[in-house]
Amino acid sequence: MSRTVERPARPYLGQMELDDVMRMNTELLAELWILRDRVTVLEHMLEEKKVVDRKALSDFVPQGELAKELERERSALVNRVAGAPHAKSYDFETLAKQAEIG
Amino acid sequence: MITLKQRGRAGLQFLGSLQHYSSSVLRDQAEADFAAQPEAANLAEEFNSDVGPSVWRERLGRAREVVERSKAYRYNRFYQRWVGEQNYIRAIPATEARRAEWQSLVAAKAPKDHSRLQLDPNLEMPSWYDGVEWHLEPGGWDGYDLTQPMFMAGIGPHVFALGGYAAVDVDCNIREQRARVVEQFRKRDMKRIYEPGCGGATTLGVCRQQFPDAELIGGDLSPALLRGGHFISEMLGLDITFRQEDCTKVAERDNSVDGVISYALHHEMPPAVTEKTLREMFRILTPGGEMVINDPPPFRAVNPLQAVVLDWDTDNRAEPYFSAAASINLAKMMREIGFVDVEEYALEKRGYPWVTRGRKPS
Ligand SMILES: C[S@@+](CC[C@H](N)C(=O)[O-])C[C@H]1O[C@@H](n2cnc3c(N)ncnc32)[C@H](O)[C@@H]1O
Repeated sequence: MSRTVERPARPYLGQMELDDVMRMNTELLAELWILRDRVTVLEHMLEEKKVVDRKALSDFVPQGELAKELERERSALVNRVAGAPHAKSYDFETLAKQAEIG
Repeated sequence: MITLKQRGRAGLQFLGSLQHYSSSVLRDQAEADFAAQPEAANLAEEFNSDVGPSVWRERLGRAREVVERSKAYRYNRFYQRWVGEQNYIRAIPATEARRAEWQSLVAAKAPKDHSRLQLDPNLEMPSWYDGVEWHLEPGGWDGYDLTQPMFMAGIGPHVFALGGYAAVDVDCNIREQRARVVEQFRKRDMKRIYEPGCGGATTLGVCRQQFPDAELIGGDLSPALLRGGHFISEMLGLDITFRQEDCTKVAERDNSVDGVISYALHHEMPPAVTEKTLREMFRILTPGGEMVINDPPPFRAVNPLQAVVLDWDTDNRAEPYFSAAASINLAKMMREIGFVDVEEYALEKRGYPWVTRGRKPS
């Protein structure tokens, strides 16, 4: 036996491409949850070892360099994701400037 | 039992939550959308009467067209299928990561006594069964040697326990359901109980609680499931005998068991095989002995939307005989074979568990 299950031949949402996008979306949602679960467990373990205080973590307001770093990363993410359907081209100069983005 | 790594655990728990959402919020919306359709009342009326398989196909086709107008229903089906696939896509790697732990646990606890596990390497698998990847599991029941920990540590507690798949309603307690089904035996002084298609030790384990002194025997085609059942049974001291055999031709003698329990079996076989199985169970029952069946409800016992949902499993969740099984009348079949005091009824909402029970005349 090949032990292989085929993907369904027909779409569930009217169009195969729409199913594709929803499959990606749901996969990402799963990945997002796995990460949130992990961060929560991580915080819990660090707190138990008295490395991190979870309340202090929630109340912490990033300032200065850290705030700038977060802003930079955030807008890069927004640009990548929200901008994906609108990007008509890409060029070397813009890409090279992204060297520091994490 | 083993536990999974964080990634596997959290991923499967996500599937449980998604299926729960899909089977409650989206499902309720789909019900409301269906009820608002002009055809709904007539379809509901029509679905009450018992007809043959070809008429059911035609009725279901019309009902599906109406049901699929609901966007909530279409998303609900998308998620049901996705979770159905992902159960294995996530649980197989997660279980594989624990192979060494599982194997050392098995080595430490492996049953010494094999007299209660009777495998038959020469048993021919029926052609209608062989090669089916049941429930979208690669390779079907015998496709994965770690199928037992995959269910017990993964899919079972994290996904199935929340309900909301096939005939199992969301938020029901599948453990309690099993106990309630076994309680449907009117006869309580059992000496020997047989379960055709027992899989593992789940239903017979419940029988052990309710019938502490009875001899329990389970038959199944799948060696992997029988081995798993034997392992659990020996570990918990349930004292169950597992035998690899086709339930249309079992090793029990005529008039030798006083109870037969069949749990979630008939929807996984063609109706002709169900009929043969019932005849075989009638043969082995003692006069006055009783058979209790739990299976998904027939189409005639549920509303059109639920019928469309059950029918969907046939082509979308690798259940090739689901629709054929839901089109037949088990109670009628039992009466024709000679069972008496035959009754059929649902124990909970949406028609499941659907119990059919009958007695062999004294
Ligand atoms: C959905 S499982 C149910 C298992 C078990 N009764 C329970 O309640 O957990 C159906 C089982 O029926 C078995 N089966 C199907 N056809 C069979 C046959 N002709 N003879 C024996 N077992 C069969 C399958 O191998 C599978 O283990």
